[in-house]
Amino acid sequence: MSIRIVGAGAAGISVLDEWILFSDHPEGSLACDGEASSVEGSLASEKLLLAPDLVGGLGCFGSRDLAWRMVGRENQRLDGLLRDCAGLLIVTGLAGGMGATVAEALSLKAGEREIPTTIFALLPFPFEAEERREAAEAAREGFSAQASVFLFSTAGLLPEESAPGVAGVRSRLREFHGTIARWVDVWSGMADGVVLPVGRGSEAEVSPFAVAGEMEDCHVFGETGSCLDLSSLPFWESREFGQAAEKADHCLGYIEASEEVSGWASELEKLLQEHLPKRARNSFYRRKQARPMQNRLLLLLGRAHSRLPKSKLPEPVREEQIQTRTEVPVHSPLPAAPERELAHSSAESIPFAKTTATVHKGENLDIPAYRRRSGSRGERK
Amino acid sequence: MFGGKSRSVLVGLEAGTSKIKVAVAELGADGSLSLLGVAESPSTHIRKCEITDFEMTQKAIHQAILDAEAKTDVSIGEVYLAISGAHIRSFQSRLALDLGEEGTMIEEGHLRELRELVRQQALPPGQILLHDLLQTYILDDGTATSNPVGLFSRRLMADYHLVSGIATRLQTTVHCVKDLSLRVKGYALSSYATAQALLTPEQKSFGSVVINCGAGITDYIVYRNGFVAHSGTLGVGGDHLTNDLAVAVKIPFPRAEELKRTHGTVDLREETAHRRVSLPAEGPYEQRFVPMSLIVEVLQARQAEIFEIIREDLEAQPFWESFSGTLFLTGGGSQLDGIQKMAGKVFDRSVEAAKPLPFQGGGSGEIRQDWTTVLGLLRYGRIVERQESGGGRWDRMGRSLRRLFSGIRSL
Ligand SMILES: Nc1nc2c(ncn2[C@@H]2O[C@H](COP(=O)(O)OP(=O)(O)OP(=O)(O)O)[C@@H](O)[C@H]2O)c(=O)[nH]1
Ligand SMILES: Nc1ncnc2c1ncn2[C@@H]1O[C@H](COP(=O)(O)OP(=O)(O)OP(=O)(O)O)[C@@H](O)[C@H]1O
Ligand SMILES: [Mg+2]
Ligand SMILES: [Mg+2]
Repeated sequence: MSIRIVGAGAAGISVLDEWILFSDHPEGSLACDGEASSVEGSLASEKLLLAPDLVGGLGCFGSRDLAWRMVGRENQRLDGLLRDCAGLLIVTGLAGGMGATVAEALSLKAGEREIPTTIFALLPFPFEAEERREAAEAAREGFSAQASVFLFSTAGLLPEESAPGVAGVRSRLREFHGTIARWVDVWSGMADGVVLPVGRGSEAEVSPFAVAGEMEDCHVFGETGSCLDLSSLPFWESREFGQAAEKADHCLGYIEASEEVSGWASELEKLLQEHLPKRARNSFYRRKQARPMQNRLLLLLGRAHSRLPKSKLPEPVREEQIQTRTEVPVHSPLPAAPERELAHSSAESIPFAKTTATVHKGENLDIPAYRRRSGSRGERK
Repeated sequence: MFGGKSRSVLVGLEAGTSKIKVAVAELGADGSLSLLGVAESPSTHIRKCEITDFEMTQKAIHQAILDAEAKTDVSIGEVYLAISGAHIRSFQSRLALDLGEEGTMIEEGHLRELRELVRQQALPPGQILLHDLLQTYILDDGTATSNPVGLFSRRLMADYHLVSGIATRLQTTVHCVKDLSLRVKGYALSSYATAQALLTPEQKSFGSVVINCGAGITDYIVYRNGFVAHSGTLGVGGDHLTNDLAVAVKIPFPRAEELKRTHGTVDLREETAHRRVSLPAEGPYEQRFVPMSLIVEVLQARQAEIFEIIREDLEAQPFWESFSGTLFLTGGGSQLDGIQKMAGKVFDRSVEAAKPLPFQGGGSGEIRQDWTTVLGLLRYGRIVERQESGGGRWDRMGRSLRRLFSGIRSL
């Protein structure tokens, strides 16, 4: 028995690749799309290009109808993926054609086989067309009722005030995919048994990913560094966190620390009580052994609701304690710069931005060669 | 130049995509060159050998010059400049001089005449001629010779290898230097200069290809029978390898550069195939694991493409099929692990790492592959200055001869 982590469609594959790049144990990865460029460019250990006989590796151009036909053609191979599967995580963009369709099909198949299934779905960007939002809505409805679905919000990802430019948008997207990839890592850690719930008395020690239902409007925050001071993490004070916290009723916290963990959990609990609405329910998870030089704190805020009869969901624990919101003092900056800063500076220095493109026989050679040449791999003389 | 200056200093300057390099040498009265020193400063605003920020580049050049002056205790006033860029074109040209029905004895003046003709050749608008490199003279009976003076013929033909570039691009580079109160004494195509640093006369005769793997440009030059048979410039280089890696591994460019230098290879060996390189957490960066197979795939795709484009160009040359010379790889990018093996496969010729020719006074053991262009400039400068001092008088005489002949020729 093994687990599978499927990146479906371009967005899903991007997240999957991010995970593979920083995970110390990237097992069970599979890239699945109808577009050859995204499948072949992926780092996944297994790759599934859908219905190349039908669309020639060009994808489904956002069409759900075509996507379903493609999936229909690949019925057997998709079934094959679930053979001996002990747990399934699907990552996908929700508003596209291929990824959402694959996610829907796989979740239904897994549901029939009673394979615990989690879906990380990226909601459409605010600027995407109405039809795409509707398509996203439909896909969401279509997921198996047994699946545990996390809907990640893209609102506020790209600020309206100042146009960040293409490089800026790309780096933000990458950063966004990276933060979701961290939760892929948490998921895989739980499947491997190296990530465990932090037991706190009465609270049910279940994996949040095994709970059938939906966590909507998910926002993720995180910090990594060799020494983290929980009380002065930069996101506590950010507008994004404030907005996400206001709407959230659930908070998942993940802790990876090289030393004492129990202290962290109670400190975190306190901090969350300060920052989240009273109704919010927290559950914490930790990694048994921190990886070298890594201390990490991740938070996932969202609103949970069931898609099944209530009884299947563990009851949220009501916090009886009344906590007054206190003003948090201004914090000194962390020793390590947050990751989002770094992604920006790198995007700024795209090396060929200001030059005339190098074109050879109609081909732009400034585009990475491995992407352009992936088709002819191994065929060189 | 004519005077008996006891100490004559030559300075080479390469405004490369990754670094500005300055080399200083002393030219002895006997024509010997002793290297006094090399200085460099990082260049951040040159891409594919083109200046994208004039002022910043000027600062970097200034810094390198100051450095060189401090190192060598020489006050630098004039430089030889390396020229490169994707706008450079090279092509073959054959010219003919009619020497009359009865035939004429060929004189020096005829050779100069040809040279004048080649310089007057029409180029595409905006282009100027950088080099006119003589290959061979051909007589009416088809005999090829490098020195036809004294021979009789009805026609004298000459084959030239011409190199041209876009005037405005070249002017930008030249201005950048001139604004620093430096005189540009001469300039040379980067690959041409590089070859001077590496090839012995025997190697030029026997046949050699020099491929200079720079950061923004890969340029190459072919010597055969002692003259330049072909040259080319491709606007793809080490920066592209790095950028491909940055995109594939999703890390910032500087990290990718470091990864390329420390673990980069285009030769996937069995023992490393399944390894992953760990990029340690450092400052704001998190730990990452990059599969060796990915690094190799990305670098291979790019480096093979560079070589294949060059091979395609060489295969289009008439001499290539029978060419049995050696390929030399140089430039910073030639330090990539496995690159020689790859070049051997792609070009199907013997490949060697270039060994820079030694300078007087030794110390050549220290010569780095990314210095070969700037060191070659010194040798180029030496050739030019010796021709000038020896041939200045000739040149003037040549001109008056030409005037004389031009009247006859127009008949
Ligand atoms: N294209 C793209 N979409 C993203 C990205 N990140 C999030 N998304 C979201 O994911 C949705 C689906 O896009 P894709 O993954 O490109 O679509 P697909 O699943 O490959 O299906 P097609 O539409 O057929 O290409 C988009 O509508 C976005 O809302 C990204 O980096 N690229
Ligand atoms: N060990 C190494 N492995 C691979 N590449 C290397 C190594 N060391 C240096 N390089 C590459 O060499 C290049 C720099 O070479 P060089 O100094 O010859 O270029 P340049 O003269 O600045 O550029 P150009 O001539 O294109 O303007 C960089 O792209 C660098 O990444
Ligand atoms: Mg797609
Ligand atoms: Mg160079």
